[in-house]
Amino acid sequence: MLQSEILTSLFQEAVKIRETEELFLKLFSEGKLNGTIHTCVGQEFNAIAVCNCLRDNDFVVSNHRCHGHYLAFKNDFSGLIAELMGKQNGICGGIGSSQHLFNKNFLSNGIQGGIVPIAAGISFAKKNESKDDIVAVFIGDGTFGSGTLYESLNLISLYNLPLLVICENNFYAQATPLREHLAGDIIYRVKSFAIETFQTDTWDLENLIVASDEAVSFVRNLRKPAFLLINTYRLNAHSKGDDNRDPKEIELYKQKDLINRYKISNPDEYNKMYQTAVNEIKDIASKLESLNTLDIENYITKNHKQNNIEWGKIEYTNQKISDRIYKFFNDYMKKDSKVIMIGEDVKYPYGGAFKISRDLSKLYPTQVIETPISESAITGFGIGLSLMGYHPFVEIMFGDFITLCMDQIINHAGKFYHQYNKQVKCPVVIRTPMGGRRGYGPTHSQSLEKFLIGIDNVKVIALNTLIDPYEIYETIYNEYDQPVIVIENKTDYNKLNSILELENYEITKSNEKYPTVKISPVNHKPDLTIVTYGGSVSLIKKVIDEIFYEHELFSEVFVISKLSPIEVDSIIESAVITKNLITLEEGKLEGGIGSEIISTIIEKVKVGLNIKRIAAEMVPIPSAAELENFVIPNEQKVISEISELIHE
Amino acid sequence: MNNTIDIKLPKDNVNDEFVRILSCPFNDGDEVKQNDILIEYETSKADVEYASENIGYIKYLCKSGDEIKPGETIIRLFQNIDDLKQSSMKVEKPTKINTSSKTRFSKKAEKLINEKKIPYTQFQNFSFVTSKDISSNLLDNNGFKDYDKSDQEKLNTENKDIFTEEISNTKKREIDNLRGVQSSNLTSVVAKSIHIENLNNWINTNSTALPQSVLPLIVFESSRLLKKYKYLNSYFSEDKIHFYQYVNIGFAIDLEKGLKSLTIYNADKKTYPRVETEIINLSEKYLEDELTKEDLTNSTFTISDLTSERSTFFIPLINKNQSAILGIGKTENQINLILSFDHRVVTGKYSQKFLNDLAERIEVYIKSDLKEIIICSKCLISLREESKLSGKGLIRIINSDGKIDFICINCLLGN
Ligand SMILES: Cc1ncc(C[n+]2csc(CCOP(=O)(O)OP(=O)(O)O)c2C)c(N)n1
Repeated sequence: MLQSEILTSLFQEAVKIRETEELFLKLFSEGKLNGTIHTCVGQEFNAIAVCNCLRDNDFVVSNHRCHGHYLAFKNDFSGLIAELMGKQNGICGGIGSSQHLFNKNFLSNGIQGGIVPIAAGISFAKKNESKDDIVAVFIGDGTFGSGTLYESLNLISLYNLPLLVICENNFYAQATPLREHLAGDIIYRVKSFAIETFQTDTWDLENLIVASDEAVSFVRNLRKPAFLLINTYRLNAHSKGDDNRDPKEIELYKQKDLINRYKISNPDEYNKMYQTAVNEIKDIASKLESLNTLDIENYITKNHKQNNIEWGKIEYTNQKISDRIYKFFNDYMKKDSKVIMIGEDVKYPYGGAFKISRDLSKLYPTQVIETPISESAITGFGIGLSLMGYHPFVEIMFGDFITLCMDQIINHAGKFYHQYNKQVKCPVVIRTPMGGRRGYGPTHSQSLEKFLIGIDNVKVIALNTLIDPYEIYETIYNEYDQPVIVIENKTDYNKLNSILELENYEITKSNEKYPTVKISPVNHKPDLTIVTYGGSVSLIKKVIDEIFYEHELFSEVFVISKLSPIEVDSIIESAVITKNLITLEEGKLEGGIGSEIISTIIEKVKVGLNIKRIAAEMVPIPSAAELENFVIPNEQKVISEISELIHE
Repeated sequence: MNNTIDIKLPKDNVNDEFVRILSCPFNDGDEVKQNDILIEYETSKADVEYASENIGYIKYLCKSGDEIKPGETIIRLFQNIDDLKQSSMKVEKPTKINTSSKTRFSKKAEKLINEKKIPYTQFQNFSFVTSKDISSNLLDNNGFKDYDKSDQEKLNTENKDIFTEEISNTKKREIDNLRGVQSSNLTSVVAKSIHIENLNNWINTNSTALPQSVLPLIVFESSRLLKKYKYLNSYFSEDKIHFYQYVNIGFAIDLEKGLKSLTIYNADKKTYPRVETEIINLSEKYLEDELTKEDLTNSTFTISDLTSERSTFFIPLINKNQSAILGIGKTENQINLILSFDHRVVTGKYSQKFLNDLAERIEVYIKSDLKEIIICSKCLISLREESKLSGKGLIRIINSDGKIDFICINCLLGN
């Protein structure tokens, strides 16, 4: 039996959480809250039972219904209330609000399932760094519909991570009852991953506390994952007024609810608790009311300054691109044990589909993580690591598979810095080879970088053979500031980082962090400005030669390294001089990188330019060599498209 | 064997990749004395006579007409005539340019060359040869039309005074440091904006022919200022700074006929209306394709005015054998002066100071109610410049044409 003072304090805590939720609903109806909320009324004791077993150094990851988890773990009522009221004093400056909370060792986000691999990444760091810290992640029964969850369960079991997954099964996913959204059985599903499971419910408090304690201790002591299923019920609507459940059913659970029963059995004590809680919370809210919202200038980061471009000599290593990438990892894994490579088939002896990781797993066994085919989860895993001060490099085997990482990139990596009001950085690096010309066909030949530009706070870099990739990765490593996607090119791996043999052209690079390479005719004013990147560099030599030979026109070529956010300072001068601007890319034409380059330049130069985008045809890339060579721009096609532009 | 002295083609004064040998006045085996002129060669800047520092028997390793790389051995002096005779069979020749592999010819150029039977070697110095190059080459052979030059200007081009200064070791180290970071390209940029609300009024009242343009005024003022800022009127080569002793302003022009830089000779010695007229004359010649070689060469400092292109800010590129270029951009009511400079020659501070001074000079036109530029008709010092010297101002006189003119106190007193 629980001692009565413990019981009282548990109820006191639960009542305070409940009244906070009720306050939110009230503020909502008064128009003082913006957006939406998901209250945990009816589920308060789950949070309390689990969080009471946790320590400050543990980490809690939560979902949309996170207020109770936050309050039980952090006991920070005014931070949360200010956050929901949209005040700059809120824990995330009012930017994240209800579903997007961050405060040291606590994180929540609004994508079902997406947080679980991140929790896994965090728990990998916790396992490395400490003997007993653990991570707890809360999900609902509805989240059992999400694929990322299963990828993550697989990972945490394979890697024996100290992560407790808590499922609050309230028998509904928004409006859909459990029997309609879940086949089979939750526990069996989890058991099949060889994860230890614990079960309890909200209505037997003693059992809830014991089961939570057992589950937490299991994870803490055995440094292994566990799963805690808590059957429960939410008494309020899913969010504000959206409730289509049978009122009789709700009524039944209201009677079953522990706080309601306590109210009847201990009316005096309850009233005292209630009054204390309500006074405290109201007091907080009224004090907050006059506070300000965050200044928009403090929110938006304008990171582009006009660059003073200078051009300098390029040093070529004359080594293979793949060797240079490998060397970066070899050097930096040696130097920094927090450099981690994560990817499918990256372990020795296979050493990665494009043989970048080679023997790294032999040299640095704890720093190379071979993964199942789980692009979404391994990206999330990398994100989690990056939040913990690691340098994760996620390898996505083929660029085509980046589509499976999009939720993690867009809704997690790209969001965290801003939505948590700049309290965290998420410098995960995702490397992936794009490009065709190897006959791999429609799903293994694409250049999908156009889908990766313009994402909040995500930088996209494309390697090329003129700039040493070692240098680029070193810059990324040192910058350690935001998520970076690095586009490598399949056909460049085996090429040398060496000069283009182009007599009478000067090849220089800009002093930008991610340098642009400029190829200029010696002693001649250029007539055409061509902007390209990545693998298309291989076409340049022939194109420049031919355009001069046939048309007596001088081309100035810019090979950019940074695709997003796009910066064109180095190109503008040339475009103004030539007034002919051409972009060349291997990706498909519509909505492509070229469009972005051109519109950015036009916006800045404010003079009329003749423009042309040269890109792949709008069809899947065929496997047959001749067809592929036609769909992806080849030298002849580039030359003839440029000729057309000139003669228009 | 200390019996021979090798003389290399000096690198010092030239940036050129290749230099043409003009004459070899001695015969192989002749005895030469100190200060004898051993060889004459032509650089892009000047014809140079090389005087002997030693005595000996001469053996040329090149002949007139050869294109030689600076630094190559061109002459060998033998202390002993017999050594010369012995060696004469096995003297290695300096490398010459291998034309065919380096020069790129366009299809049309190839066709013309074949039709007109022009030797390909004519183009050995070219990086690229287009049909235009072929026609101007033909023109070149017929000789350019000679353009009326004042004697003063002729003097300048013929007797290009260039003073050279070794850079200090500290500066050398600074350059090396910069090089480490920026690699070989050591240019940098400073900028300055000037509000110009009233400047247009001034220009409109004072200009005869270019009412909308700030260019003449900026040419006028900056050329004067360059006498003070001599490092910006110089160029760097081979660890030395070479100062021009005259100020020839090149102004960049790009109107359908390609980007060209046209030279206003001795701009610092010209009146404002004269500067304006020259800009117009040169621009007309540019449009009519009547430019001469002289119009396109010999500038010591360049100004690139993109205000008519509505460019607000850009980074102008420094021309060969210069140390700086001034760009002019424009926003609604200000003009932006952008100075790209060679960091090996000057510091950012020095360059900024030049811009600040220039801005100050121009702002005078806006602030003061001077309706025109008043200058001394003899020494051409301007009222503003004078005010900084003696501060006595200029005196109004009637000149021999019966027109009103000005003279400074110095000239009046005959100093
Ligand atoms: C990936 C994703 N799909 C859909 C939603 C919209 N949504 C928000 S909460 C929710 C129901 C979640 O159910 P459950 O996981 O059982 O948690 P509960 O709301 O019951 O606490 C849904 C569908 C979302 N946030 N994320």
